[in-house]
Amino acid sequence: MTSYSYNYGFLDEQTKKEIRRKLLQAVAIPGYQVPYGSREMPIARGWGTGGLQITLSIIGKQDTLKVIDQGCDFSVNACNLRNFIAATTGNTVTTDTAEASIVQTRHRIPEEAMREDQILVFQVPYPEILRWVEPSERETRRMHAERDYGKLWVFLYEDIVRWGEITLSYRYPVLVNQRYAMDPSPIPRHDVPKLHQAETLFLFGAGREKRLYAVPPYTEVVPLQFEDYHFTIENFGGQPCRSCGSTSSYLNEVYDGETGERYFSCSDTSHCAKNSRGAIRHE
Amino acid sequence: MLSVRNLSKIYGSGCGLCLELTGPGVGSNICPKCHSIVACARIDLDVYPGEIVGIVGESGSGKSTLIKLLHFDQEPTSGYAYVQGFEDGQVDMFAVSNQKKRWLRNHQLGIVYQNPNAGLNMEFSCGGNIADKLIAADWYNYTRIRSRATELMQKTELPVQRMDEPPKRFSGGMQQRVQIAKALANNPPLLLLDEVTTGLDVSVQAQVLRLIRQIQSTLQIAMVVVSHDFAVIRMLTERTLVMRNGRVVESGLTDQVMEDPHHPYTQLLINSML
Amino acid sequence: MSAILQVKDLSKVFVLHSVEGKRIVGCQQVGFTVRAGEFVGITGNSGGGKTTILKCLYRTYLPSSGKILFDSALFGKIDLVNSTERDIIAIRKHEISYVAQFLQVLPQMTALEVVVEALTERGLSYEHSHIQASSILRHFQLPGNLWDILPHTFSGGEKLRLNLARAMVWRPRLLLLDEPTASLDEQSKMPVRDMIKDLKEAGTAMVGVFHDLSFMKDVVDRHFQMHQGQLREAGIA
Repeated sequence: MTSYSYNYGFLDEQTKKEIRRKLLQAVAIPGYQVPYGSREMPIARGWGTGGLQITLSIIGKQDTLKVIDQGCDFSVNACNLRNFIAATTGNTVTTDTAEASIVQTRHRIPEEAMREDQILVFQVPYPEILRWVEPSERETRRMHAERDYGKLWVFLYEDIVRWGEITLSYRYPVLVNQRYAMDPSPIPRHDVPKLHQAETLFLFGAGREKRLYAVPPYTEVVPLQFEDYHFTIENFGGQPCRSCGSTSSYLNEVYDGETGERYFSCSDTSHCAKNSRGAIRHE
Repeated sequence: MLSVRNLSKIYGSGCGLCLELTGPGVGSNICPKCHSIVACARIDLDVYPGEIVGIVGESGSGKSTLIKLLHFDQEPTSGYAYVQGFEDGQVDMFAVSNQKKRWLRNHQLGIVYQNPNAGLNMEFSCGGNIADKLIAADWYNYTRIRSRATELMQKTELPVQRMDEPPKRFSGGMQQRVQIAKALANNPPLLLLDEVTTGLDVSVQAQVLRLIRQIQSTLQIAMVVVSHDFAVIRMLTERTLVMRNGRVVESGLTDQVMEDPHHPYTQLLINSML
Repeated sequence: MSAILQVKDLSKVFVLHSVEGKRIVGCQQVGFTVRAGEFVGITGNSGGGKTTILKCLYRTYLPSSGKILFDSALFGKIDLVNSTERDIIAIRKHEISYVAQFLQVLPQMTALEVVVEALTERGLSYEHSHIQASSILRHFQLPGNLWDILPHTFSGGEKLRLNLARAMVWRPRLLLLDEPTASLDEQSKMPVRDMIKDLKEAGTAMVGVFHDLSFMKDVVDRHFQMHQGQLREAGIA
């Protein structure tokens, strides 16, 4: 790839250095949003530039990359990002979670348990969880500094009042390391418990909002919940995935317009394919 | 239980002569030299457990600023204050970290503003507004929060069946009662009331005043009541401070201040009463 | 009997700043003593300074000079002229009661609640207060159908009886009465007289300002006349 006039990984080394320094800061203060100088990228802001800049800053020649969009390796967004990174680095790419050393994701955590030697990079549209309840940035920063999360709790209280349960289906607020309230990015509730005491390093990048944050391995990540109204994950009524038969993975409801049939199938496509082949070991 | 000493608030750059060049003597609180506004100057105030102290004065006399300083809504330019329930009254509450100030605000103080919009989140439900204060004091049990909110709504004579409605649908008097319920949520020993009956109908005003008296006599909560209305002050308080141009010009027993005022300004105020 | 109250050289001068510091003399060099169980009556023309003396004793007026020595159960011998506001508030709560000419109550409180509050404020339980309040209202012959009504609808005589009930029900050590029978008919004065006698026997000291000489003669032990701010003894009644 040296024939391209771009630097390895598109970004110049100074930029990568800045981002890596900010990532170190983010890892040191789990859940804290570190401001950084988000760069112009050859894709539009809001299309994963935050995750992309992180991936390009940490990727090395030996890394194997996987990119998913809502669990799928082959959506337009995932393909474009993967192709771009491959083109500017020449690294190996894969769709198998187990083979990848870096996984960049939009709105999902892979079903297959990730390991200590892997990094999961999230694309984050809105890094500020307090934006649910507070429009002012100055005020949300004060709230974080003083660990003043009352308004967020009232927001959950109001949700229970209205619906009898907490209905937030994505961006479920979590408390990281008993200190910072954090937006886990728009992952479904199904994925939230996977953040807790994980083996993997989680890095979050919000390009448009110019923020980075991180959850290091083996960190406490607890969803906000009342003592008598607990956080729960989605319930698919015991229906299995139509393709692989899994009952433990996060499912999409599919409507077949021709037959009028409704069925469920795994959101994580590569895991589903692997499972169908019998390549997943079930414990 | 609350001691305030030498409390001043100057809006603007301040020039060091502001306090000397302003005040009731010259009839202005705008410094002629640097044009800063002296909202409060060298205020001393003591509040004892269970008593109601009144602060009376015309608009712009600095009485609301004083309340805002005590609730940490504004930062004082200089001065000290000590609260019995905080570090045994030994530590100046203005000198501590924001986190400690927040603890003080949530555990030692309750406030009712003239404008319910300042004290309530109109998008949240009435119960949610009360929950806000409880959660700030580490209540994380939904059922317990609901039952405490129910109790407070009964105490403040609010219809419990409307707990889940936003207060923006309530009348002015009811909104003030939601504020009072919220302020009482954590049993604070000191309640700050800023012109709570201003703008209410006379009959509603009477209900709110009565509620405040009831709360004071049953819960023995100390209160600082700010009002421009001597009738309100007379009905609620035993001691009163009269403010003008950011200064306390006179203080004493409420009936004495009203019937035997000494300062020319207080006499003028009393003579201007309807 | 011991002196509950000693007034010495009491003067009150009002300074009116709105009329170029004009000075108005309320009372001058007033002196008298009241013992436990004794009733001192003061008469005189309107504007003669009778009420000024009472208000100075209650500290609604800040005396200009002189001494008001009160034998307090809380503080021992104390000069009310220069006592702190806190001490005055405590004394008003537990020892000195004042019956003003006009009834002032919180709006939206019923007659019974007004009297009950006078007792609960002083630490009595609600049940106990309720019993005592009912008993004194009955004594003053306030018709039962008025008890649950707001007092501002009352006639002058009814208001006055409520005012007396509120001030007397907690049996103060010193009772100050400003025209306590002004708007009462002869029949309503009887229970007031009985109550005063009752309190006297229990040791309450009283200072009263009167227009109604015939009523006063029945209850007072000593009679003073007020003239142009000065007090002189009119003889033992």
